Amino acid sequence: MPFDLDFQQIVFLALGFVAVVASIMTIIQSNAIYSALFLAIAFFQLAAIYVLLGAEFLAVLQVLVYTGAILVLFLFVVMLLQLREGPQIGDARRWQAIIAWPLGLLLAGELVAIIFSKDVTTQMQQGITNGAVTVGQYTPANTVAVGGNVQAVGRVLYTDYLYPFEIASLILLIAVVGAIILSKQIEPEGEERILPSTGINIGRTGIVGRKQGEEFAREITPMLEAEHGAHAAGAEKGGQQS
Amino acid sequence: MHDYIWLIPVLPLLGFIINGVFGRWIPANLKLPAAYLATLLVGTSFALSIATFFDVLNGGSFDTQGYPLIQSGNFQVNINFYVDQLTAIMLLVVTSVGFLVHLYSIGYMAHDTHEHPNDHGLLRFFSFISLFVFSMLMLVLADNFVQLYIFWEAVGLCSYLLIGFWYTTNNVNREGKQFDISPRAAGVKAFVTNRIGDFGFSLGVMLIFWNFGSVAYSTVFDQAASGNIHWQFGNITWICFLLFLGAMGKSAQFPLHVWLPDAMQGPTPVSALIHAATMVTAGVYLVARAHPLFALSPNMLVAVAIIGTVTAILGATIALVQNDIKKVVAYSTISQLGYMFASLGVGAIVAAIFHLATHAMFKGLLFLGSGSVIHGMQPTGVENPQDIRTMGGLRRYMPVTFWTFLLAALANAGIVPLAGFWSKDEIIGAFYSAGMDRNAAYFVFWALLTFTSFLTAFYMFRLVFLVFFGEPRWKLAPATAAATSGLSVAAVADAHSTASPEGTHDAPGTQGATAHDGGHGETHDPHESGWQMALPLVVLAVPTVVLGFLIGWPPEAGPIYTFLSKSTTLGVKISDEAANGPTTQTSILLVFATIVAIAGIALAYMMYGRRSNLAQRLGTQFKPIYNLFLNKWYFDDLYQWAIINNVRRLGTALWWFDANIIDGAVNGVAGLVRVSGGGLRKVQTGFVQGYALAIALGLVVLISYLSIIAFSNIH
Amino acid sequence: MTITNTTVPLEWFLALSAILFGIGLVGVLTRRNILVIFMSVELMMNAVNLSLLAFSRYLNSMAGQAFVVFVVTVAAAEAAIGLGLVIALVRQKPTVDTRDIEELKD
Repeated sequence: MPFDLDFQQIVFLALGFVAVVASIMTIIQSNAIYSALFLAIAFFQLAAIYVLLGAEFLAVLQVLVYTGAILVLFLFVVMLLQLREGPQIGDARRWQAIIAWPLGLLLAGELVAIIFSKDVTTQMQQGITNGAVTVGQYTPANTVAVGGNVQAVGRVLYTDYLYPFEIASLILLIAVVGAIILSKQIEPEGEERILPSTGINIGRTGIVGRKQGEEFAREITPMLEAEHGAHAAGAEKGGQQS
Repeated sequence: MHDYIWLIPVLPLLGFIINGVFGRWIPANLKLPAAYLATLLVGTSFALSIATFFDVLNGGSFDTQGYPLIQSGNFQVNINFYVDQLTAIMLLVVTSVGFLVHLYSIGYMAHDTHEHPNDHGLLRFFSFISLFVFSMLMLVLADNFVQLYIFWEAVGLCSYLLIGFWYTTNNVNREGKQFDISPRAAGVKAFVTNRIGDFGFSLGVMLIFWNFGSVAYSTVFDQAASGNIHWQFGNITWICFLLFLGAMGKSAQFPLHVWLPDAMQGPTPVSALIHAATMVTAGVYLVARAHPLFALSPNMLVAVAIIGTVTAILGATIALVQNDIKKVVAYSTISQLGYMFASLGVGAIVAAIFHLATHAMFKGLLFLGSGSVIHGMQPTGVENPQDIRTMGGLRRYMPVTFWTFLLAALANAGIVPLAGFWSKDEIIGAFYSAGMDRNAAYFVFWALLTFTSFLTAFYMFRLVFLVFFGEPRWKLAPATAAATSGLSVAAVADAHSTASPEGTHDAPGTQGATAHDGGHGETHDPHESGWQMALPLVVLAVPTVVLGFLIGWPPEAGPIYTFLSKSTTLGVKISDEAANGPTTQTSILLVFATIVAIAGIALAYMMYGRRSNLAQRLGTQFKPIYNLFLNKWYFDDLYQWAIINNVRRLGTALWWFDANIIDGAVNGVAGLVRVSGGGLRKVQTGFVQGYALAIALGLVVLISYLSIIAFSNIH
Repeated sequence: MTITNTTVPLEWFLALSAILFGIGLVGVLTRRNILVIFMSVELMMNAVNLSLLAFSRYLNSMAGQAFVVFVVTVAAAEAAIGLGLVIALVRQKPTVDTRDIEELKD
């Protein structure tokens, strides 16, 4: 009976509904700040669902790290850059959106269909019975016995997953260093260079990439045409290739 | 005791390395010493070969381990140094002639005018010729067929390199007239012709391995002797045929003989060493070496005898009418090689080896003498210093060359008691005995070979009379000399003697004064060659005279028989009656052979020695035969028409195929890639979300596929 | 402190996870702002986290929760690096629009 729901289920459905709506709002808001705020709402809902799943430690982590650190960082960057996204409609990549929406919905629909039609719970029980799926020792009773969810996660992290845990800390360290290096303003070494034959300033980096090459060619072509006439075409070609 | 064996081939190799690898750093004033060094190294090899000879003089053989070359399952090839009596003789022949030719080459090549940027002519020559001596020594020292084959190819390569030594020379003379084949083309011709034979040889070696499970002489011969061969594929006749094919190519036997005369485009010392004394006898060596196999195949032996006899008479007939001094000697070489093969075919191996040794001496001498003549003729400024029609009377200018050449010609003609007489007579005698004892058909061979020996005497003395006797003809206008051809040389001499009678009996010293109106600017008289060239002539003249009697008397039981009978593989036996001195039959044959040879010389004298138009008359009367001989039995034309043109046609067709179909396919693929790349390039937008979309699309398709499978399994 | 078995079926969690994942994917594919794309990626990761935790709960295993800890760690690192990249990018070219960042084409 579809409406015969207990309290947990009602809570889940409510949280899930808000999370889905917030997620959708996240991706359709044209303002990045609103997107970030809606995402925060979705993350809060997820944190609550984690509590429902008995993962209190992760719920706290979700709020602290995701909502508190990462999303705030996003907001910080968005506000720092003060850039706005252009209009979505009438854009040259419109077909991308036309394909992407049905695609995403199809994917979600397919997954949901599979999940319900294959009856995951029953199959999992079968797997447990015939040994294909191993059941862990942390039943709710055992979790309580070791002192709670935080203690249980800690036991696993510092025993079975000690090496990955250390590696994760190393990754964080590298990420800190990397973020600093990337954000640091690095001045190109040397002085601005000027092509001796034409007097064109090619900057500190020289000609890099196609756009700079095209700009360079645009600048140099009239000069060459003035000087050599017919050689201009070849020079433009050379400019593009460099 | 035999530890020094490896030095015999390695010393010439050292000469090759010094001259060939380091040649470009040798300063100009040290080039001649470097050449002398190479000569000295080969000389040392000769000394060591003598020592080796005495090691096996009283029987026995030894096989010194070198190093393993190929070890693959039961296919074992080692580079070893195997010496038995046959090898010892070959070693002596190769190193002695090799040494003398090295020495001779210093004189012959010192003034080689072939200059080319980055080309160190003299040292290049010495490196090649030292490499040849090395390869030939390794060939005869082999103890297995693969080593034999490797160095068989190596000597072929050296031959190719040396024939084409003057690689910038074209077959067009100063007047722009095409006269012959260019050295390059001659080298290629030799190489390609040899390739036909060598292909057979390689197949033969494969068959040997297939059936005997080994390529080592000892294993193969033991199995062959025991008759306990498990034939997997082919049979003994096939093996012998294929091996003999290789021998035919290398030893210029009919019908693969066409390369040897053209090989004369190489420098004359090369002709002496490679194309007379050593390399061309490798085929004889091969058949003698593989005698335990050939002995099992009587049919093949008869074929060998037939091929040898045909070659002998073919070479002799062509030699009758050639006008190039080296060509005459070259065809004589083909003819004499034919004798050797005929001898092998009738089972007279010792006679073949005997003839090989004496022939190496006198034919080497003939070539070196020819070289001396050519060298001496160059100052006269004649158009072609090898054309005997422009020679004559050279005995007064080049006495050493004349006398040594005469001795060699006598030896080749088979005049008692010179070397060629004894060895050639053994061969002819062997056929007579075979005719008496085995089958009367062998008398046909005997008759043909005897007739060939008559022809031999004739063409050798035609050469001697035209070159060394009569009046000098090099002062004739070249147009006159070119207009005359072939047998009409005597007529040219006549015309000359009437046109300029004052030159007839001039002393050599005054001849030069009248020779300045020859049309080529500066002309001088011929001159005798320097000591480096004269000394080898004199030294070679000694064995030319005495070698035959020394090791060949008494007939069929001489020291060479005693020596070679100690070899385990040749199966030589000395009959009791032969051991007691020459039999009546042998004596009669000896006398008969001498008469035949003298008859040949007498005919040559009648036609060329005195002033007569007999030669011209005969030439006119037997015009078709004369043309047949002059054009070398039209073999070159036949091959040109039947093989070369077709191969060229095939090549053109394949070239068309390559240019249109293969290249078309290649270009088509390239074009397809370019077009498709141009099309696909548009997909590469650089728009990252586009790529992400593609990934997501793939993901959805994959999940759809899996879910379809999953659902269809349920229901 | 007692922890009772949840009465919400496993399928519900997974379905929610799938829906959030799909929404995140659509966001990644359609949005132009590179920062919003980043947020969508975070959303997708959270969807995966939800699956992990659901299975962890139903299999009585702490492994899933440990995995989520790592995912959160990596997400933090990724956000730090990614935003650093965005800042570096904006310095080169004052835009966060993916349509203007097409240098891969060259």
